[in-house]
Amino acid sequence: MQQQISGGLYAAVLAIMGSVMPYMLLPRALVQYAGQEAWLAILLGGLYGLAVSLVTVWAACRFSHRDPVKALRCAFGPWAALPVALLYSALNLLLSALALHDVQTFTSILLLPGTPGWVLAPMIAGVAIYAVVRGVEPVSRIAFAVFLPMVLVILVLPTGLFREFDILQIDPFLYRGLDGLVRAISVTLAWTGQSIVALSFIRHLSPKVNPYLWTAIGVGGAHVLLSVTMALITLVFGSVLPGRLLYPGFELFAIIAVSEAVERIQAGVMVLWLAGGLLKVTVNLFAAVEELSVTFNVHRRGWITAVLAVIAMGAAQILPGPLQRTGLTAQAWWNILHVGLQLAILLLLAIGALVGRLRQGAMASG
Amino acid sequence: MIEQALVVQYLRRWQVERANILADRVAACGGAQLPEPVQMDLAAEKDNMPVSPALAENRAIVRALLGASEDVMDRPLYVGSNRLPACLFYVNGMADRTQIMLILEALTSQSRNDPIPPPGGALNLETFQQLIPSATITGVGSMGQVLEALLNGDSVLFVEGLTLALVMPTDGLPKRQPDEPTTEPTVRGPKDGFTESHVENLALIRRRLRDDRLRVEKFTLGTRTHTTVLLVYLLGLAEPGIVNEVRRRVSRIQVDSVLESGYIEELIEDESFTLFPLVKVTERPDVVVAGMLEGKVALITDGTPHVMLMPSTLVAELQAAEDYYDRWPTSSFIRTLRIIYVFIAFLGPATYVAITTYHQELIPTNLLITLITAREGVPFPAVIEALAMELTMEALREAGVRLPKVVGQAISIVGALVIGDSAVQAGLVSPVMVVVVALTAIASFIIPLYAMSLAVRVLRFAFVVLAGVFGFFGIVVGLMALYVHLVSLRSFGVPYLSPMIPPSWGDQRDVAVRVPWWAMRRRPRFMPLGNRSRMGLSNRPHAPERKEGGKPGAATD
Repeated sequence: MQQQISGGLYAAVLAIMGSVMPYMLLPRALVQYAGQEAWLAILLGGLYGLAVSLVTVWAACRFSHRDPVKALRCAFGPWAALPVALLYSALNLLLSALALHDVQTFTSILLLPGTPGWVLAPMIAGVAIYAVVRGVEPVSRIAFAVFLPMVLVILVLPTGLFREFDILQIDPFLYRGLDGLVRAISVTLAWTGQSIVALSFIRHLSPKVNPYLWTAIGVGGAHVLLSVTMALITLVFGSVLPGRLLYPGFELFAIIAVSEAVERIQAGVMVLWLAGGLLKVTVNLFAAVEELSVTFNVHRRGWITAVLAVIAMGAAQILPGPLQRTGLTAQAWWNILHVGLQLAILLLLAIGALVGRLRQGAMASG
Repeated sequence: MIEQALVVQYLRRWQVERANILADRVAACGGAQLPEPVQMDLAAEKDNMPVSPALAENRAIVRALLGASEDVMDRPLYVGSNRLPACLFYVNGMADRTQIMLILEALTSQSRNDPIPPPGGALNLETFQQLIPSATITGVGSMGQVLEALLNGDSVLFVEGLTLALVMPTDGLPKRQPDEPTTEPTVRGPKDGFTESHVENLALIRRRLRDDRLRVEKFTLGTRTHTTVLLVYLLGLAEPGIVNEVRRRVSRIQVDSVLESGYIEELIEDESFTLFPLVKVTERPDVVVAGMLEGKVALITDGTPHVMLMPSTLVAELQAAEDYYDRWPTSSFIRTLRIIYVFIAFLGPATYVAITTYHQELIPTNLLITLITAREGVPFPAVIEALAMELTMEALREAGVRLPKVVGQAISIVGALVIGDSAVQAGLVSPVMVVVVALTAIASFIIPLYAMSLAVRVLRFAFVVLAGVFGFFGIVVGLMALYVHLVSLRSFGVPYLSPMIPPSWGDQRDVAVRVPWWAMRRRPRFMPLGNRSRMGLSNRPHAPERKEGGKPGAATD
């Protein structure tokens, strides 16, 4: 029997996917373009993510069991589902490799200086494979376990930072003009559109809950949280300094000192972010494995998971270093590639839904 | 010596083709003993072999089936005034001699004046049920049943002309008195524990649970050991699905031996590749009864004082019987402390190794100076130091368990003190490491159940290695893998992390904190149960109402 997850777990997966990696990697790029309006760029970019996820859910709900790939396979054969599955799996494999690369880079720089990334990658991949093979429930439960403390940390964060706040840092509004804001929004699209991963989880969502509501909570909540932290970064560091820091989100915690004994809070954040990063690798790998397995009707997923994880691991090793990587996020072609893939998948899903509806109508009338 | 002619005669009388083949093979044998292949073939047919009306044949075939076993006794006798030949079989040491004497007296002395069967009556089971002072006398028709009864400690009577063997319970197996469980002692609470006898263990449960809905089902496992296993549950409380599942898993066991409940545990659990016990194993009858009152199912295995209780959860493995006997605030405090110490037990040394090796920047400056000073001169990296100390500690603990009790304690204490102190003085380990290892050892002793404590001990080594190689990154990765593992574990379909994951808010009153008894009105929600209500509404104690001018506690009109 297919494992089912509750609305809370589903929303937690979407929230973690939308907030963990951007928290470390986006602020630098966004501040460079939008300055103190970076928080707004995230919110507006989040609308695109919300739209992508809701359209995905809408399209999935057009098919039986909210499973477009399976429905297409059953109705027209595996070749009908292949374009969607291949595009979707390729996108998620790329995202998994990127997340793996980001985690190993972060670890090599801040936790284990001098340790090459390829030493860390097998461990990350190993845990991801184990979680994916165990199924959707463990994956979503980790998401919940990471998401809850993350929300608490962000809610408590202002109390540790309020002495550093300078309200003038976000004044005046639109100091860098509308162009900067639009540019920053375009940078966020590649990230926020990753909410398309809802496709692999919606079929596991309990039928008792409203899929649109929980999707909106997960994706919307992630971007609100991200926006709040971006605003905090701007309030503390201003609109210039974060553009020169590699991980401004990390530095935000480094300056908190509650007392002499409790002075290095960033350790806790590091642990949370690491767990979130590992989860991102896992969720994207899960999504890639899930759709390919459904397309080819594979029940024992061990070998597919292992093969895809090895590919992701290999890809992560050929990606550029941390500075180039953050530069890459702002490249136009990079963002067009991501957004193009996301829209292509949505288009194929919509076509599938339409063809399915037409066929159903033809059968009913025939 | 086997009387081969009688065995051959018996087999021929059976008039079955395979019996004739066997008879030919026995007839062809020479010597005092049947050859091993022939004995094996005879044994394979024992369940089909009927009891013969000829006493001599029965004696010969039982002897042939049991071999020349010294402890198998056959006592020929004559019953009744007509001196009807009979023979009483029993296994010396397994049967109670007093009961044997009573049976023999009834058969020989008391029946001396009357013929058997009585005039006009038939020779059958009822004749002997009137004669022999035994609680139950059953008639069995096959040699397989005869052997099973004998090897259970019962006595078997063959009578000339009777095609049934009479089985009388005379079980006199060596037993010990129920005494305090060695692995789960408590300060407050019952002091009796299970023994090796399944009959007594069941009685210990019945003594506490005098409910007519208590159900007991018997299984015999092990083609050679014929171990009795009892499935015990409360009708109406235990969910039929779980009872059926336990029944199904026990029924499908096909092994030659079951010497301890551990054999069964590994054959019925949901997941083999895990360190965590998916079945709660206890020596305490009160724990079993408490579990059954929450809808759990117990399996009593003969020959071991360890009774299995299922389904189990991680929380149940960390609870002690005493948690429910002491006052609730103190119990809650101790329980919370226990949970904290479980984390210390498996993450303590790993965290120390990670911090001192890779993440010194996380330590407040003053503490860092203390640690560096303590580690000065130690020639090994922290991970080697930790592993060596932990291995020594485990060796001492294991030695303490294996050695005789009196010596064992002395060795543990002397070993810990001398080795720890000497190692520090020799500069091989730092004093801080000794403190960490000692604290960890104490923490692992706090875990009430041995199986859980073992799991934590093994995990600790894995985390020390991860921390030694990858620091905090290794610990996070390890914790994540552990979490995935725990989340996906099930015990008879019940999630192992229940009631925390999936969250059951109503059940949180008996996890880290135990609320007063009167507030635990309902049984756990995460367990599929027939009846959730544990008590009535008005159990909360109140001080008696004080009448105006009256004394508190005085009777009211």
